[in-house]
Amino acid sequence: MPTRNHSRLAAVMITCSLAATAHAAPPTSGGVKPEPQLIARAAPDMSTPAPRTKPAPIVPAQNLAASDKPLTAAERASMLRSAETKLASEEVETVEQGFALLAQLGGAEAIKIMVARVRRGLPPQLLAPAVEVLVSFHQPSVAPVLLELTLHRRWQVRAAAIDALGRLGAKTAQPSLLYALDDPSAEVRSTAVQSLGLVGDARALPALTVAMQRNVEGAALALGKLGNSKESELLLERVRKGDVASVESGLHAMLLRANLPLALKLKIVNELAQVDSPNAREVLTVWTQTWTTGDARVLQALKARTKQSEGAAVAAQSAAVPAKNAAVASQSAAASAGKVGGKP
Amino acid sequence: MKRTLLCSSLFALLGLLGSGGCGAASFEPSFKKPLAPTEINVGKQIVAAKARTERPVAVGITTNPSKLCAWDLSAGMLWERPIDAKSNPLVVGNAIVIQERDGIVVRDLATGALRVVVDDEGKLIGADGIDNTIVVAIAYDDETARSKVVLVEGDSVRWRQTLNLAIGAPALLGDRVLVPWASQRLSVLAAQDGLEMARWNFTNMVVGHALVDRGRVFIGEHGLMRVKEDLPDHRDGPVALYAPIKRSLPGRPALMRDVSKPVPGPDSATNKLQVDWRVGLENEGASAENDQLILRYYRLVFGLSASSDDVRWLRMFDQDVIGTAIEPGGTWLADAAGNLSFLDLTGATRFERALGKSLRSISLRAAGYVPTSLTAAAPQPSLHDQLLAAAHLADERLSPARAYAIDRLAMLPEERVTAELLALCTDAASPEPVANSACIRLGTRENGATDVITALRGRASFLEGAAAPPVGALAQAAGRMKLKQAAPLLVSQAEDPHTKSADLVAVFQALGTLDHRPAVSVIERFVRLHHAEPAGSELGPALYAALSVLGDLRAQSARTTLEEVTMDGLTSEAVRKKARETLGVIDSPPVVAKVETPEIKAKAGVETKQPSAVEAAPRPYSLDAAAVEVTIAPLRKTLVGCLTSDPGKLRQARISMVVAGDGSVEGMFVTPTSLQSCMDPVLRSAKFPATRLGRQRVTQTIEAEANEPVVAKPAASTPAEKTAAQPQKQTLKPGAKAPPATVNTVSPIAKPVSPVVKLPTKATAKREEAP
Repeated sequence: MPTRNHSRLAAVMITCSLAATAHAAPPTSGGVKPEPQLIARAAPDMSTPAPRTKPAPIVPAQNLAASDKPLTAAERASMLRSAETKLASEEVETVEQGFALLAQLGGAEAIKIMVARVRRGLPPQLLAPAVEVLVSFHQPSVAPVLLELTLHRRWQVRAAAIDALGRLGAKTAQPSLLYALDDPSAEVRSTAVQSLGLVGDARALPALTVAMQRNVEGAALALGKLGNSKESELLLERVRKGDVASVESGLHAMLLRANLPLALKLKIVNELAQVDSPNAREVLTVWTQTWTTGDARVLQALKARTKQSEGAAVAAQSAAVPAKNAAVASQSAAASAGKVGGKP
Repeated sequence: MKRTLLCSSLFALLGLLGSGGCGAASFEPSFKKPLAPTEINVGKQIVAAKARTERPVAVGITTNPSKLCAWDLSAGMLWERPIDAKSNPLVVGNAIVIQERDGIVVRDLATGALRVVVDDEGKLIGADGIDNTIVVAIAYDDETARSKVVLVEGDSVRWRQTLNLAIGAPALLGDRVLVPWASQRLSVLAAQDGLEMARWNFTNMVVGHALVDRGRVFIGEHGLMRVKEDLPDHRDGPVALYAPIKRSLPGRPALMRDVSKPVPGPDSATNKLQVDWRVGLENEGASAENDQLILRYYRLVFGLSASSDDVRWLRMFDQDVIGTAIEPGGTWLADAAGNLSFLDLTGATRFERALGKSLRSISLRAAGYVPTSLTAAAPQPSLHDQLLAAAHLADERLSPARAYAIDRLAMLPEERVTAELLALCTDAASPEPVANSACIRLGTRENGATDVITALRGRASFLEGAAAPPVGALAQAAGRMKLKQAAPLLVSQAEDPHTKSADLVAVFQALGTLDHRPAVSVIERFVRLHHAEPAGSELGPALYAALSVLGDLRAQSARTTLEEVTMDGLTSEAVRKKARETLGVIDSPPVVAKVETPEIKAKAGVETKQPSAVEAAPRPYSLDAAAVEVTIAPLRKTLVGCLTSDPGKLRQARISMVVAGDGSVEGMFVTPTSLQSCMDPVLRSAKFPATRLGRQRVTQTIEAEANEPVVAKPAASTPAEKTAAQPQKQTLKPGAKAPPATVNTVSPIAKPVSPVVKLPTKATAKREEAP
């Protein structure tokens, strides 16, 4: 008897429902990477989206969720058959109901049916919800079909599949994710670096380094999650050039990692403090305030450096005020002199 | 008071008529033929003109300040005068006719002095002249198509004739004036008084120009007809007009100036974008001088063959070429910098002179003058090098001409051209027309395999900043070259998201052409993943191509996918139908190519005879039953196999085919329709004799053999069973004689029309002469 995580099911149902009914404009190239749900909702690119006639009636999750009684084998078999029938429907909405039912049921049979249906091919507007259902199974057996979807011609589908592989923690997906770093779509590349950050290993670091140099969004974070001293140096190099914002997430990820030496983390904090820019001070403050887990010595260093930076900033500010006042005074004096010595 | 005024007006009008301001009425709606001279005599009078003795000159309008300048080609500058020109100058007789701010004026060629203002309201359409007699055609921007023809003698107007229809460019022949008007009419006016002496209405040609060249008279616009005594006989019916052969040229320049519009202004782009040609003296006016057509496209000049679609040479200049004059043995060119040059027939510069002025426009009248001291021709680069250099010219204005140069470059057989086209196709700096032309032509290459393979090995990479190769064009080229080595690379490109959807069609087709069976899994996956694309998706063409290729490759391993596609309710009906067709093709037997034995080849070699010119039409008029039977006979076995392998145990099938004039099967309908998928590819391989009748419908009945043993066999249900039930495994009983097919009808679909009127060939001429 498969266990049922009701809250997860409800979440999937909502995701499916959103994916089925909403049509958001596809994000533009170079724009902010959408959340997975947004990817799921994105309308197919390239050409006309398939017409939709009515909102999809989704099987109410609470019906099953509210029931404490486990399903009998016969009930389960019947529901699986029902789901299979729905998946073979000509109606998009009915197919979506089938997805929802399978997500609720879970288990090896449901996964098998779902994987088989996705492998047979689906219209573009059903692929993103289908990927969400596959992810909801949290089973590595769905990885092959997701890998196949990374070859889809629509970038939304590729991005959804790559995102799903990352969320599933599919270690075997690394070659496909590295391949996706070269994708023509900025969204796919960005999703690929994020997923590499989740499932990648040291072998991904050279490609991620190039990706960061080519400004692929999220590459710094992935480097922070996977990299070591060499990568920290790359990130700090940017900090030294005054570009804190683009690498802040990566450095923060390094501070939080347990498998990095303390010296490296302290170096990051110190280097950031030495930059002495408003951005760097803000980053140090935020890191200090939001620190929850990690080495206490790092937190201590953060606090010290934050205090030091703030002090320096205040000193600089107070030094700047008299100078400013003096400049204003000299300007006024010059103006007065002009008036006096000007035209009679 | 009123009466006095009226009388004085009438007298003034009569006086004006009597003084010769207007000639007798011409161009009336109904033309009354004069008693004398007769139409036949007038026709004889306009057949030839006296050879003109004209001064070789160049008349141009300079840039800031605007001046009208004249040069004698043999002597140098004649004069210059300030001018506010509104049109290009026309050099006619001893005068220049030009539209200026004050109207259409006639200036003296020798001095530039104003002779007469012909009209202050109209627009200059055309002019011609002999010595000091000038005829000018003028059009007005009225609501009615009012026009006027004016004859100027010396410094005064001898007569004016008005007409209410459009006028063309006139010609002067001594005492006769030829006036084309209303696009199709030609009137002959007396030069003395403008009286209309003859009028012909041509229903078979556009008559926009009348012109005199070296004593010969021509009329026409889209081609020229030499005026002969029998001119009145050519007013309707087939007419032989001479023009250089038609071809697609950049900018689509007209063969002759459009006379529905005034003479272009000095800054008009048409001055830099023209074709120039002249009727040659040979072949009764049915040839071009030097057999050459000059295409000017800003600073590019193409020397084209007039009788074939060939480029002979190509020259690039530093400045736009704005004027030409064609003479036997070469061409005069003048550019905007005021450089005058004479190019020989190879395009080599043989004479150069600087006019010393920057020019907006120029009219060249060489009048047979060719410099006596021609310099030795410098060795010209090869046509390949000329075309390649033009293709690479970085000038935005030249894109269409660059594309044309690329088209011609691609026709050259040199292997290196493939690499050159590839470079032009992928050059990010190439403007779109140039890159498109290079990519399209790259797909037509039949050599340069190494470059194709190398390019296909390339892969787009965002991280490396590498652009995608032109996969579609390369796939086409690989297909044409039968490049088996390209197939694995094409498979790789097919799955690369950088490959454009439009290119996938060519990739799949090439994989089919190369018969690359390992590609089946990739193509099958493409079909599986994308078969439910909505109608109108840009992946549609690639999807159809993929399905076709799966059929061509007889991809049995894709059967399951294809069957699922046919059953998927979310798939469009069109895709499902195509998938069904593909399944039918997969099930049909492969078409076996005839294998010629050496003996047969040898025999064919002995019997091959060059057809003589008189035997030039060996095609039968139409298909008859015997011809159909002969064509179908080799296929009968396979067709009967389709019939007997059908689960319905059918005994008869009726085929209705459309056969094209070249003998190919254009389409068919098989009843029962379940046999369509099996019989269609078999019958499409049939090649009927070519016919003169054109498209025909052929109806054929195929019957299963009467004594064919019907094997009790359950209908195939699983894919494996269906595979086993392939019709190619059905064979006729040894020794059994197939019943003859019955030709029910062989009917023409559309009567062929012969739109081209051809001059009699030698062969037909011989036949006509035979007793």
